[in-house]
Amino acid sequence: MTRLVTDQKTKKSNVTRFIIFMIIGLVTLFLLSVLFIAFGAEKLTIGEVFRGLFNYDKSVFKHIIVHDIRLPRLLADIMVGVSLAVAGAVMQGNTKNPMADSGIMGISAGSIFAIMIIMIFIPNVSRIERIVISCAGAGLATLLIYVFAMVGRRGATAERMVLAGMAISNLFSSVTTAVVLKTGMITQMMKYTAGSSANTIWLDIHISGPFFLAGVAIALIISRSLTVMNLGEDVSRGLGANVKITKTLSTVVVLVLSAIAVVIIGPVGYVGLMVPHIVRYFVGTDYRLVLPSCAVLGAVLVVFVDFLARLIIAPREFPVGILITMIGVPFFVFISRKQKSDTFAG
Amino acid sequence: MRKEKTRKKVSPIQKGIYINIGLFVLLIVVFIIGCNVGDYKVGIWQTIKTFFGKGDKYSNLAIFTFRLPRLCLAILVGLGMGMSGVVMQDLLHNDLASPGTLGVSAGSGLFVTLYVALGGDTGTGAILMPVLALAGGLLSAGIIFLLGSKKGQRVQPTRLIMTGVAVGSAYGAISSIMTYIVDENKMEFLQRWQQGELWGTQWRYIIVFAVWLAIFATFTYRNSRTLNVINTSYDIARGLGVNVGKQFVYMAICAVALSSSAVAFGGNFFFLGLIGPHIARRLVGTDARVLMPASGIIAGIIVLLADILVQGLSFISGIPTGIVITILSVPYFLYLLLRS
Repeated sequence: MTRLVTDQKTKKSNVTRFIIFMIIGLVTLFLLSVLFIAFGAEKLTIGEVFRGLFNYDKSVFKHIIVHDIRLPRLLADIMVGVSLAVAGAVMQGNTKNPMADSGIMGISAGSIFAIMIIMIFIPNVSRIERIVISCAGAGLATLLIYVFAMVGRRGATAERMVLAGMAISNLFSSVTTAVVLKTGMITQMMKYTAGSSANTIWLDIHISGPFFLAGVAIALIISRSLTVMNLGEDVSRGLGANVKITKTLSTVVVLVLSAIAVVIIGPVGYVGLMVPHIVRYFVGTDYRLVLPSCAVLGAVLVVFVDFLARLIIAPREFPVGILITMIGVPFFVFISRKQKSDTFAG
Repeated sequence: MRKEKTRKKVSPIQKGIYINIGLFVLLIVVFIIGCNVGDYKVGIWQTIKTFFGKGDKYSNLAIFTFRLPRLCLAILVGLGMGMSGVVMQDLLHNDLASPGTLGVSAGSGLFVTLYVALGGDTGTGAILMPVLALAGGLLSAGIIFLLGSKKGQRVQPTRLIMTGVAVGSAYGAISSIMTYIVDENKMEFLQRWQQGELWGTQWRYIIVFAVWLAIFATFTYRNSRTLNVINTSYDIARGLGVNVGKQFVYMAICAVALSSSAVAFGGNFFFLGLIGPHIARRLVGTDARVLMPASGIIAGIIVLLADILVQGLSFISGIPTGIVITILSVPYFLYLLLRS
């Protein structure tokens, strides 16, 4: 009885924290967004930013900067942040692996691989085809990593998944490099692999938008089942949740969202690892609270890092993917230190 | 060793020595095949004649100028990586340890990348590059060891490897930044090099490399008995009077030195230092005295074979040799992960 009461208490406090978290997150995101649009090679005042956004006039140069250069970029960053963070959280829930992340697990490498292959054979591949191809590549990598996670008597531990992901990612990037070197497309590949949202145009947003929204919507719909599933598959069966459907849907969410992130800005690792960990620290483990918080924090993180990326060596830009890796690695080390160790044979 | 001989008819170590000799013969065979692969066909008999100084102008040119350096380099890279892998796996009691997975070769690689990117000339860097690679590798090993171990706790190999993977990706990120500031030629060089390319095919590199390897291989091999004891258990080693801490550091430095020269001249062969020891262990067992040479020779054979594929098959000609090795060894690595 007492346990139930405390459960309800923590639940209540989690909800309160969730609300606070969301409010702070959204306000931060809003302020960051305004700053993001205002700063740059051409500095704008706050007033100009808002006029550019809501009172767009094609003949004013500054409005064009706001509307056609910085706003799409901002949206791209937000989409990538949300996608990666949500995909990471879903993946961590689905595989019960706290180290899961679409970059670390080689899913982004699968996407890049597919995109580079298709760009060699069909140089003018359209943007929508690129998304589909990217999904296919992500799917291939996801399949590999999931098969790996399921084969074996005891299932895969977090460490083993990370090593397998590293190997798969290595495999894909090796083949990609081989093909790229054979065909002399090295500059294009570098552009893709560094991760930058600098060249985003409205078309990118329009085309990937529906996929993105669908992915996030499905994630939110299955959030309850994910929470239940994490209590144990027997429990969730008892509670009437369909484990199979949840697993399939969450896999689809992971690969669509990761693939979109790759198409928009390239492979960005560690967002999906860091954000859910931070979020769970504040709002607990209920995915109905975790996923929206992840979305907000993911967006804040990527927008902030991209903001930094434009600032630190201005007028040149730092690739945002690399900058996030620099932040993500210490975090990864920190988490892996917290993990209970699993001893290999040998 | 003679004592053991009298006791048993064929001791494991003797068997190991025979297998090592067999492997060496195999290496020579593959080497001679390697001399024959390429655009200009020399023929096996002609190759052997050429080695004894009786070749004509063309076979001399093809073999001594083009093929021999590359093949020697391939063998040296294999030796360095294979031996280094054995030492790391034995020291950490973990068969997933290797210069690649521990992030040591990524550290060596980063320093070489920095050197190339910041204007260093690969032509004059024959001595400097392995030294830099060693410095980078040692620094990386130190960082990973500090981050991956907790105070007052035993070394946990898995944690070290995880840290190695993460730190390796940070190095990868820094290297990517470097590729931004270099021109396209250097960028391609770095890309190839990161995948494992036998590039240092000039005799002066090979001589430096060979001398370097010989020195550190001797240092390492002299301590192979200690390594055996440490591999059994840290406690037993301590009980037998081995200064485990000191030996650990000493052997680790040797292992890093072995792998870093391979990284400097041969690029980043990620899985080589992992699968060489594995195959060798299946053949000769765990005794470091026979395992170390066997692992080196096997890794050498692997690099040679991969290079023969690259040279011989037209549809992959010109790609870095390391890519072939990676593609072949990833399935094996996954299998190892599943089995462990």
